[in-house]
Amino acid sequence: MIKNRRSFLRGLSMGGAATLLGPFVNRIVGTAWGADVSRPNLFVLTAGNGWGHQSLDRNTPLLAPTMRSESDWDLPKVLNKLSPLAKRVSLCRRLYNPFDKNLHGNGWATLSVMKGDGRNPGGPSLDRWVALQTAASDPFPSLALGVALRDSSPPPCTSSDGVRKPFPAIGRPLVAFETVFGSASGQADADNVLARRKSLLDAMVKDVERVRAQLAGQERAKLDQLLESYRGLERQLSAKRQILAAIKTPAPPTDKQNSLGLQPASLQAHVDVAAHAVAFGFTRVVHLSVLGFDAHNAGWDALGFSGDAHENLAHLSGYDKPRATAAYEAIIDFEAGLLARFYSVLSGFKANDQLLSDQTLAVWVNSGGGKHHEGHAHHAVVIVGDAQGRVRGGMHLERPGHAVSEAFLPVASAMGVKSDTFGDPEHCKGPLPGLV
Amino acid sequence: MAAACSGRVADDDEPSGGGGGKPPPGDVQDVTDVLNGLPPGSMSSGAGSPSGRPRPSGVPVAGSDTCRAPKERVWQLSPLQMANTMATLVPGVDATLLKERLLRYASVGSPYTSDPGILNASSLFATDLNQTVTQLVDTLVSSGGGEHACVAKSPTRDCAQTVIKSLLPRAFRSPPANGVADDFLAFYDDASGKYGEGPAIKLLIERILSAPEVLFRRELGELDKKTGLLRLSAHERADLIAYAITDAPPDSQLRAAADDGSLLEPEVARREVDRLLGAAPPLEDIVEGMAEVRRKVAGPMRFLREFLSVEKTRFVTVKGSDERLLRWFDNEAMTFARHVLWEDDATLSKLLTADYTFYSNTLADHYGVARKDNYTAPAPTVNGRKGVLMQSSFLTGHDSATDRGKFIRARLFCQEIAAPDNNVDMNLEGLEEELEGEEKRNLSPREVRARHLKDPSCAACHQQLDPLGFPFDGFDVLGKPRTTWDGFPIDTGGEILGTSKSDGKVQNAPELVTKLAASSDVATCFVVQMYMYVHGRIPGEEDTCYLERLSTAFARSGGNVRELMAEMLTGDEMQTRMPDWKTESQGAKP
Repeated sequence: MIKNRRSFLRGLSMGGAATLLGPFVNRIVGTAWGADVSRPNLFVLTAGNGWGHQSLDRNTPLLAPTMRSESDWDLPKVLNKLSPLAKRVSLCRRLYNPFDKNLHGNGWATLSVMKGDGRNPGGPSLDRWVALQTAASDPFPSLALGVALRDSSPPPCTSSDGVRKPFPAIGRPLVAFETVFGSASGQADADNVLARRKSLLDAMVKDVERVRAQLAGQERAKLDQLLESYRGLERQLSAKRQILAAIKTPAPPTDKQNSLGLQPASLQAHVDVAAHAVAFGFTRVVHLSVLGFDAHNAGWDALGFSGDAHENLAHLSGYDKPRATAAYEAIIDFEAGLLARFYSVLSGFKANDQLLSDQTLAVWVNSGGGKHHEGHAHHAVVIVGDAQGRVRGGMHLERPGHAVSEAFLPVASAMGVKSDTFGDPEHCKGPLPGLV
Repeated sequence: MAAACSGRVADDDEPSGGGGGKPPPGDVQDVTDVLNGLPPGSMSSGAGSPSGRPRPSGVPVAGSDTCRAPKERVWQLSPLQMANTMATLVPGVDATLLKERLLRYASVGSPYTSDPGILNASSLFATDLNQTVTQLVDTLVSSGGGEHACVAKSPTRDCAQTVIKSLLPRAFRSPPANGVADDFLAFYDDASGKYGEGPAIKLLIERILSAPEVLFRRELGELDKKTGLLRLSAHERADLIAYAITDAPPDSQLRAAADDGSLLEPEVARREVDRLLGAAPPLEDIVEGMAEVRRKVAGPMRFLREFLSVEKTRFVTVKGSDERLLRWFDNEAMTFARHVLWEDDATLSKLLTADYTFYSNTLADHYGVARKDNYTAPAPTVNGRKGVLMQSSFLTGHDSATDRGKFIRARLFCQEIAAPDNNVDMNLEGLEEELEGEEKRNLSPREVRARHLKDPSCAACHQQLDPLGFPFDGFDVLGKPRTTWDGFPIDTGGEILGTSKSDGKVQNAPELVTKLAASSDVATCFVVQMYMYVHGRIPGEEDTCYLERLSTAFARSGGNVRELMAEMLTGDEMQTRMPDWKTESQGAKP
């Protein structure tokens, strides 16, 4: 149900079917802190196993649609959960990603399509590139969320700001929630709190500038990032205060939704947090990484497939092919459900008389382009497009010889990035033919 | 101490690359060879003549291109160091939350957590840091203020002055620059007027804890007009020593030596380094499960943990493994390393070849030895195992010949293997069946891989990797010994190729690790690895002389790991930094 002003002060809850306060809030908040509410949003979903991995898209029909023409085709069964979006889904197949061909995944190059040094990213990832180019002044230029394997290190995630600059993801949904919405439930004394924080941040910026003045060149750049972070905090505080004053903070994820490891409930909670962060104008760019790095060994106990995914699922010919195929069907189905869930939440919000779900693009790509199974040459990319005609939806495009970056480029352009290439320009000659 | 490489004054027109003469004789590898094997960019990082840079006249050029002091002068503390620093500054407050929040920014994809390339102050990090500091200060005040009781009881201007006087120098780890203390007091005054004394004192402490002087390690130095170099201050030396060895700020004794300037004296610096390096960490700090504490490793132990990729073991999901077993693999490696470093001769050779290890009951069952219920006493290895590379931690974390060989190639010979070209067919599906069809017989795993090595498109890389890993084929993915594999006898023959002095065939893993332990190539690479850890930078050409001298010193010490770290922290070269004349404050000095 699309919400209107009358529901403004009604309670929120996290979840796809939540009653939401979108249209009014988004409009006034967006206007209040100067954001352009007409810009589209971007949801990037990467996964470490599932479709596209282990040559599935080459050797099995899982992703092959019933096809009459490039623009007249039926979603393959494994993507059924995207049916409500079918007219906007473009399925790009047989693409390649030439870089960081780890044994079982493209690693950092999954979203950057740039050669790294083997251990570190070689360029900005799609989500961060879009964020830095078009959303730098947003409260959160982007959010990166991932699967927390433990609390002492960031989850596997391929977001990066540039060469050797990983952008760490948030693992636990509750931490994501608190990062965006804060832990305070009330807004008492909000003005006073904001003013104090502003005083402190002004002083902190001054302190950074004091040390920065003693340095030059690259050394100074190290302080610049801290400086920019503090200024970003100022923006966050200001926008947060305005947004939170206008909404009732959603309910945080429960303990069950906040556990470590590859848990469907946690991933769904991440989607809910992310969708609400987008809906309320905290951010326009979200990357959810379902172990999207080189995580071929991730077992999906919760989906009924436990143990070593590499041994049990990956080596189709040498092991149990029916079981492996069933597992991949289940994994793909679940991940498609995450994408559908994101859109479902956003369909409850409106801005500029447009549903936010209609103003949102999504890119779903698998990082499992491992050279061991030749996945790097058989990538599939799902794009939920349109966004008011900016990216062509409803296309089935088999494009051997084209890099995944050519599928990313039109999405970035639709988000407002002005560039005729993305990633390594040698491998990106322009938008993927048929996608614009 | 030979200091021919740094502090050397060269004329403007002197050809570069002189290097200050040959290093003292010793069986060491040419460091240039090692540097050549490092990742792209390392050779050029920081290298290049400074002559193109504006600088005041009359100031000599310091060093030549291959023997120069490094330019890096600020490092963001690693998340662990940051958490430890906060915990030291606000004693008595449980910093668990702080660590939990900050440690998720620990290294990703880099061998060493001190790598500045992967430390970044993203907005999320700033958010977390800010929220954490706020919570820390809230807790401090609500729990009585700790050593500054006035912040809870009477947060007046006098209290603010007390805090600034005592906390600021400790937090900054050096006396604050002129005017800084006054600025902080003015900040308190302003906040007090607007929000009241209580909130003002909290904001003051938050500002102190969030200052870049706290979050960054600085080596700004003072200009030595004779050499044209910047010499580290006593406090900067204290920082370098303390964070390298303890991952924490200088303790009171080291701080005192910095405060009175005595740390500038080489013998005092050496004494302090020896003191900090001298005590073995309590077993309870490094063995998970012995106490309800998180593992605390720092200095040489953290270096070895990261060097050996011990952490990797914990993420293994191979059949037959479980969390408890993997934890004990980790514990075994750490306990063994600790013993070698503090209760044996501390040598790299012993790390690679010692014939003892430590068995918990879990490990005893795993290795097939009798339980003794005495984990802390070393016991003889079984199955011919020698050293850390034949322990289950390494063998499980690196579970194939290729992976094991890759580790040795990269970490012990400092040689990176480039990724295959795009046109290389990496699809191995059905390869074994295809080969067996050709041969009309079953092939052993070694035979399959041997065929693989004959394929020119695969061989270029795999010949560099697999023969280094084959000797470990006598151990399965959990490090258990095996004599057959898929019904075929195991062939543990291997070969070291592509090194400057260590090439040769080996029959098995014990022979391989013995050869590695005796290799000057390995010793030199080990120096480079520790350099990256201690100094937080990938060495460039300008470090050649320094690394040569360190390699010589390492060889002379018999390969003593602790001695190498001490040398790295006290050597004259690391007390100087190359100025950048664009720097506003330094540019005006000469």
